[in-house]
Amino acid sequence: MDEVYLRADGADAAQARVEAMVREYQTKLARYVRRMVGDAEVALDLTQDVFLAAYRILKADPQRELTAGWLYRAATNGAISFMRRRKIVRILPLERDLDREQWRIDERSAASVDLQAALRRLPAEQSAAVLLTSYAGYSSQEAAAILGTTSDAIRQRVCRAMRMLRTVMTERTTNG
Amino acid sequence: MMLDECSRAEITAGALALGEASEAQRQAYRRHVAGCHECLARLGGERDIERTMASIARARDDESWQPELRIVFRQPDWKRRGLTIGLATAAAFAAVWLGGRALLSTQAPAVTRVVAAVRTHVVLPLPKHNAVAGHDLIVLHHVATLKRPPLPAAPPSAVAAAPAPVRHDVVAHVAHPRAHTAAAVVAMAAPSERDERSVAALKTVGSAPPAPEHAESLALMGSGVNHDVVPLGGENAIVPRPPAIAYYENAEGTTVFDVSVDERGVAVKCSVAKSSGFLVLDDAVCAAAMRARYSPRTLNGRPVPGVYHDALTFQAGDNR
Repeated sequence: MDEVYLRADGADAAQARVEAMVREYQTKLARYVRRMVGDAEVALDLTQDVFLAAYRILKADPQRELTAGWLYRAATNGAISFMRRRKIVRILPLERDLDREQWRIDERSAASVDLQAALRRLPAEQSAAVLLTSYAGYSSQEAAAILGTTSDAIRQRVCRAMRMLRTVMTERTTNG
Repeated sequence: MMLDECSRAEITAGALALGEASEAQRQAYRRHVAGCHECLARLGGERDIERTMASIARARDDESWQPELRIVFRQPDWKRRGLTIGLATAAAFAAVWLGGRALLSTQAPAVTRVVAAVRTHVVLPLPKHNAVAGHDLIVLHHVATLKRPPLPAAPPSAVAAAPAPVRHDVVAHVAHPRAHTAAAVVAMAAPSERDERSVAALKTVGSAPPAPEHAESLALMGSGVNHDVVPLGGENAIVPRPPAIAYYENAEGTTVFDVSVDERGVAVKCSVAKSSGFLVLDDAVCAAAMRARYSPRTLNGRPVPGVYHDALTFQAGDNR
């Protein structure tokens, strides 16, 4: 859905900019967040929160420069916060199975399901590093700026994440 | 010394994975893993790294999910919105005041009419993962459905006598496990509170078998048990989860929806018959309706596909 509707209460400039942002980034950002949290509905909620935050910032300061990197940073922070909170409240192993089943319905590609299965086993910081670079297409320097770390740290996280990815994806290749 | 080299190799492996390694770094990595079996096993060779990254790229390219994000929503003009809220609120209070009597609402546009009985309300707190407190959204649960007006050729008085001129989905779906039957609802309502045309339709409903549009089904009636589609777990089984934006914006309105349910009790389609004015609310209702499981409609004891009609009214909490 490309169209976005916002209150026309004198925030037209902010509205127009957020509209453009949503049109351009909603798919990339929502997919990125969904990979992080493993749940489409939560991903949509969190993505909406990001755009809402952007709208509020732009409404207060229409001249403020908001880049794609800002959107990803906000989305990453939101996803990590959510995952930390979920860790505390998660109790039902059934929920994990349900999520995985949901993924199988949403994504028919084995590679896509396997990637998600591997990502679920990674720490959030490693998932973010892998997704920002190999998935969203940022360089290690750009990803470092988004995550507030160094490019070497990003490369190290990607390398460590690859071990898990390799294990899961090789299992799939070996098994069929 | 060796530890430093292994740490460096780890970073280089990351650079190789991201396609950022220089030729010198690539050569250094090759030399290192050739002499360090631990790193070779842990980090993999260049081919392993390439294969893994190719798998990620394939997963990304195969991804089919298309999010439909509707950030904020149509903001109806205040007059219309105020009217809608006013009517919905008045309907809710009147129904409560009448102690569950049928309420023949006049809020719907001319084409449709909502027959509603307000039963319960559910307070939906802001999703847990959202840290902002102080926003609640209350869902008033209606058992409601749309009644289409009589065909122009059939005057209201003829409706009661003729078995089939009016669509009877009113009857079929007002009935609820914990609710009164349509006939009972009519019986409870005082005559002065009813719209005559609707009463005529409901009387037909009370006396005639449901779903008369299926003429062949009439012959089967009476010998078996017939049930309408109902959600398993009762009317509160459908719990919408509106996104945070709905709370922030104090979205309010009534979503009237139809869920097509197959003979297994699985929802196959949800359509919004009357929008609340907020797409996020409508989407949340339909998503919840699709998640729910249903007891299928039965005809002569046999499960058949059916449609579940319902409506949910959203009200912003007091602590806005």
